[in-house]
Amino acid sequence: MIRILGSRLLQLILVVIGIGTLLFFLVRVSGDPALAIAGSDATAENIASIRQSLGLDRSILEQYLSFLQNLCTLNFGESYTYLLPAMPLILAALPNTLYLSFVAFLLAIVIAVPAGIYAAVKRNSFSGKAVMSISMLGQSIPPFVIGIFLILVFSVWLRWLPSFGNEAGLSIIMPSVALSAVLMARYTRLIRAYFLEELNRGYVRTGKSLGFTNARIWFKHILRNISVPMLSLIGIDLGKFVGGAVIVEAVFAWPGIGSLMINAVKARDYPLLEAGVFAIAVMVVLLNLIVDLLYLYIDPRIRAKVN
Amino acid sequence: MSQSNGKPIVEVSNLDVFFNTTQGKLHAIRSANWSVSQGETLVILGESGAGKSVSVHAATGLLPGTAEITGSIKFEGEEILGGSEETLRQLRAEKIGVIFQDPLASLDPCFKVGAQIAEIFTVHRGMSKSEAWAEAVKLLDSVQIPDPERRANQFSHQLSGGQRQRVVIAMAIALSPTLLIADEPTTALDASVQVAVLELIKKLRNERKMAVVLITHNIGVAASIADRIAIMYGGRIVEIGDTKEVLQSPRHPYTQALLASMPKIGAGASKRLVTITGTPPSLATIPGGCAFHPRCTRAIAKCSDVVPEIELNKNGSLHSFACHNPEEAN
Ligand SMILES: Nc1ncnc2c1ncn2[C@@H]1O[C@H](COP(=O)(O)OP(=O)(O)OP(=O)(O)O)[C@@H](O)[C@H]1O
Ligand SMILES: [Mg+2]
Repeated sequence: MIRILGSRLLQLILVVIGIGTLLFFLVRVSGDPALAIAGSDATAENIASIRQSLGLDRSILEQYLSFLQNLCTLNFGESYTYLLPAMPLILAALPNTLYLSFVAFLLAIVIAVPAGIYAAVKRNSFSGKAVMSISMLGQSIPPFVIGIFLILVFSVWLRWLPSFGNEAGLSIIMPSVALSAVLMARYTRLIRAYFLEELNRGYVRTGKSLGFTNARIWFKHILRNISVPMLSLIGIDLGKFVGGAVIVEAVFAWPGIGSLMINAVKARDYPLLEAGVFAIAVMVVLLNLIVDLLYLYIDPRIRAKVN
Repeated sequence: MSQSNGKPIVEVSNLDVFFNTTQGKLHAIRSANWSVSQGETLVILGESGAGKSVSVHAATGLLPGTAEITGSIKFEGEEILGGSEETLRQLRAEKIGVIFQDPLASLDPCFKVGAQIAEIFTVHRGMSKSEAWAEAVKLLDSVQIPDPERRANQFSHQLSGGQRQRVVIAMAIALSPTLLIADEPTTALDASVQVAVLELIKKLRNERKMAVVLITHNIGVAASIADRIAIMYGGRIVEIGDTKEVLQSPRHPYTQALLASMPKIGAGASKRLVTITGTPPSLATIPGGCAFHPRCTRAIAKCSDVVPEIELNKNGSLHSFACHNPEEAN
């Protein structure tokens, strides 16, 4: 238990420093924020003074050291574009991102579990194969394409749902569907495959010999057993999932970290970008920690090893 | 231990089982007849692939959907063949207990063994969780698991092979079935544990007056528990009769060869086993006539042409065999 927490903490530190460093150098070779801030008709002195005020006139090593210092104090300075401290901006957007991610993830699981089991049980019939074809399709379309498609149909054509922002309660529907589609399709296929494998296991035979109904065997025993490999996959997927969230937020102008980050990239808003990456890295590591703990809870063999 | 006079529990007659496979229709069981009564133990012996498991599971409804079954299977006098999946499920719940060969694979790795037993009582007896748990602990005690309270709280991977098999036995007898099916219940266990598990099955059979059908590869096991023995070869029952008669005076040449080739319980590796020459036939290529004739030392011309019928109850004898040129009775 303590070991798991410790190793995740170490991972967190390494991930934050690693990604932060990578990002630090990447944004600095990508262009000069002073140019972006000053605008097209700025004089050379103008630009120079902006650079000085931002501390960009210092050597790259000095800048890097102060960046590391920022990391330790969680103070990334003021956003160039919003002229406000970067970290609070990110923290204010965080609940929206978590909300969207959570709903999308829940949606994926709630649909994929019955769909996967259905596809497994009805594997030889047309309807079971149809589920597989649809999920194949869903898995191969990128989230932003699904997002644009949804906007065209439900906002532009049917005018049922708002196409951007998070003002109305219904606003969550389209972004979460767009974000969850790939995951939903992927999990449907995986759950089907795992389920078929489990059907041949001895405990299933035992359940049948005890006169348990199929529903009990499927939803209580098999589901519990496949949640072990599913969890490890979910752990691997989390990073990708956050990447998808950034894109989807941009498509729907969802007021979360993703939208902030995309704007920050465009404006070369280093402090905001750094704070955002920091927040996302922490989020991913924390989610992985939750997956680890769930693992302990679900798989008694692992629990026995840890204790 | 001789023929009991209890009421018949299962009566199988003219049973044929086919499997629809990609290679065509396989004829796995051919006109099998067997029965078992209350308190009686029937042991089925035979080489791997002879059809022992299939012929037994035709009666439990646990064969896969590709199986086609014809003939008649009566359970406590009622025909169950052609019955709905739901009837068979209820039959398995209330009347039939099954012990499978591999005790680790038979248990769900994700649940405590106590919870797995308790589930039987909550589902089929409508007990509350705590009542069912108490009942599970009692049951573990009755299958002679020491410290049952603690064991109930463990997972299957924390138990030894013998303990796991006891848990599986406990689950099989939880609802006091009238029929206990044990498909090689001791094969995966150490020799010393085999004896103990077998003794437990015997004890439970006597206490609960269950009919038992036990499949094994071990003559010692058969000799120690069987009232009657059936020998299977190539999907057919080739000899069936009282334990003593079949073991001491086998009439079918295959039975004789099989008995000479099988390990005895407790016997070390020192005793050389006689192997039967040739290999058992695969279902797709079962020879015509008597399936055993290519390997048989007593084969005569007729054997390759005419399938020898098993003559049940001929002259009132309970010892029957299917052979044109049987061994002398001794
Ligand atoms: N689901 C199935 N589909 C096709 N053939 C099957 C199926 N189940 C069993 N068979 C075939 O039926 C025959 C009898 O199988 P069975 O399992 O009854 O053998 P067994 O006597 O129990 O052997 P063992 O001692 O190895 O358990 C075998 O040839 C087997 O290949
Ligand atoms: Mg078998």
